[in-house]
Amino acid sequence: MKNTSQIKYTEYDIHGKGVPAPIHVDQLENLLKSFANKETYDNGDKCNRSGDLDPYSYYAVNSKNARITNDDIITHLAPTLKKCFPNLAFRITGNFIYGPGDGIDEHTNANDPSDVMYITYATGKSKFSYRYSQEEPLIDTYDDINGLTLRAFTLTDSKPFTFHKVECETGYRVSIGIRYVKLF
Amino acid sequence: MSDIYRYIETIDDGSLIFTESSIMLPKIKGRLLLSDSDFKKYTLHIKYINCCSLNENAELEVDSVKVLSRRVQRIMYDIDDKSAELRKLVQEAAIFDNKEVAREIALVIKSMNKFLDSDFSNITDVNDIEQITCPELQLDYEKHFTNKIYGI
Repeated sequence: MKNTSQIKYTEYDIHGKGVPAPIHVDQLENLLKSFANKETYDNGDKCNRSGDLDPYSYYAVNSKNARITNDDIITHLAPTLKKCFPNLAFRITGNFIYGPGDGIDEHTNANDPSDVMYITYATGKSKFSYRYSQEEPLIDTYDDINGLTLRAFTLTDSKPFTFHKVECETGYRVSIGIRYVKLF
Repeated sequence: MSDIYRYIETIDDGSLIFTESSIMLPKIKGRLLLSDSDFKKYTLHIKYINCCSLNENAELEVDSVKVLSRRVQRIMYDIDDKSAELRKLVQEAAIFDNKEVAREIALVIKSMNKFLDSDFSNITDVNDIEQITCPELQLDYEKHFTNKIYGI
């Protein structure tokens, strides 16, 4: 599942359909790297929710992170993603910056089923975990440190759901989510 | 709470309609009662009911080419709406002689129009067709450019 052999990033083909390959990987990496710091985190819109864990919820009940601003998405992120993935029709659905100790607990996003890809740049120890049933153990996938990690998976609106969560132990973790369809 | 019965029905001109009823309707040719699981399975078919037909086994079939055409048409309308809003901002930028913002807005409009030149013909799954979108449509350019024009 993990492939780091010939490319400058790590990919996790979780849904088994292949991870869309970016062109201009360096630009993508540099952009996300520029967001992965305390200053951008502090200036981002904060999200801090807490409550009783419900892994079946559409959105995580417990969530602590910051969001990249609308201006940065429009000025930098969207044009770069369009340039890097000319073969995808996509919409940006995640623009997270996790700080040390931040995370987002298990949820399904079952209200918006589709193929999704998360593009991540982490400066410390962080991971994305998933499973298809509450009876199964979580499968941990770790982020490259100071590098790009791409994960593609499918969100469903019925069982088996793709339960998923994120934990950022140290450093800053920028994570950009897109719902996508391959054009070619 | 009363039950809801859901049907796909063939009407006089041969096209299909989706109906709901609080009473069970008599079984007739061309009327298909949907179970709860059918209803869930056919959510997108119902959305695009004008692109569907019933096959000889009374199963609902969708014409993905027609769905694609409708989806692209929908995106075209949305792009037109978004472009109209952005053109108003070009005028506002012109009032303030802010050529840079006017140029940026023009690029966004061009980029959206270019999206319509994409070849979508490889996308044949209805669920995938439903996911086709132009990235710019989801972004809040109005707020972004208004802030730039008025310096707020």
